[in-house]
Amino acid sequence: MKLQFEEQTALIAKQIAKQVERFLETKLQERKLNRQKFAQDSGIPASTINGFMNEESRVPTLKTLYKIAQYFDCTIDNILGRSDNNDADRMSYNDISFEDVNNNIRDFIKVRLTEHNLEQSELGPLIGRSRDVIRHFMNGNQKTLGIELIVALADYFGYKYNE
Amino acid sequence: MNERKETLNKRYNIDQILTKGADAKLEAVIDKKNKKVISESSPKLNSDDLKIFQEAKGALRKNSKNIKDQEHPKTSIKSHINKSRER
Repeated sequence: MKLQFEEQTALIAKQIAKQVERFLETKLQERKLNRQKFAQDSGIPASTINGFMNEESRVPTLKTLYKIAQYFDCTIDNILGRSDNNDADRMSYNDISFEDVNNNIRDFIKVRLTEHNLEQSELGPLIGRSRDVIRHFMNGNQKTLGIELIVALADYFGYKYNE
Repeated sequence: MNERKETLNKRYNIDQILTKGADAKLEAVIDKKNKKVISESSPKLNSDDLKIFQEAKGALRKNSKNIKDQEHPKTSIKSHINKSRER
């Protein structure tokens, strides 16, 4: 069971890395931007950008995805290739702080736990993580979550687009 | 595994979680469970909303337990023994 979860997490990470690479390649080409200029303007270190676009297939942190979404004024679903729909009514990441993003994730988890009668320590293992990961995030000891974990949460709770 | 391979192809909305938190789903949950709890749209989840929601959920669970008990009253061991003796 543990191996299955690890395989799943690795697969999600691989897909995310691939989608981010594809997204950046397209966007930089469209805007005729080089990596250096993009790094300067977005505040994302050039080495990190190279990590996404070279063979390394690095998985971005949520903070980096947030910065990419701010820079291109697009959605994170859009970056991850989950949605082509760049809804005009959506909230721009330029209007929301990263702290609020994390508080929204906490709100989401809080309600899902109540709805499913789950304890914080029960949720981690259900999505292939440790018992402490959600608890540490919920009590603020951990500032943010990895994007793979957020994808796993959305997946677990069946949070679908336009639902 | 095949199911999971399609994960990113499914239209799970990460942005709603990140920008709205629980708002949209909270309304749906409350409406589904008990429309009287919050009849107007909930602009932002706060601790009061959550408290109301949890209380309502608890009350609903209690009600459904009472109904079950009425339909299938539990017979205590004592009354069971007494009934057997009467027979």
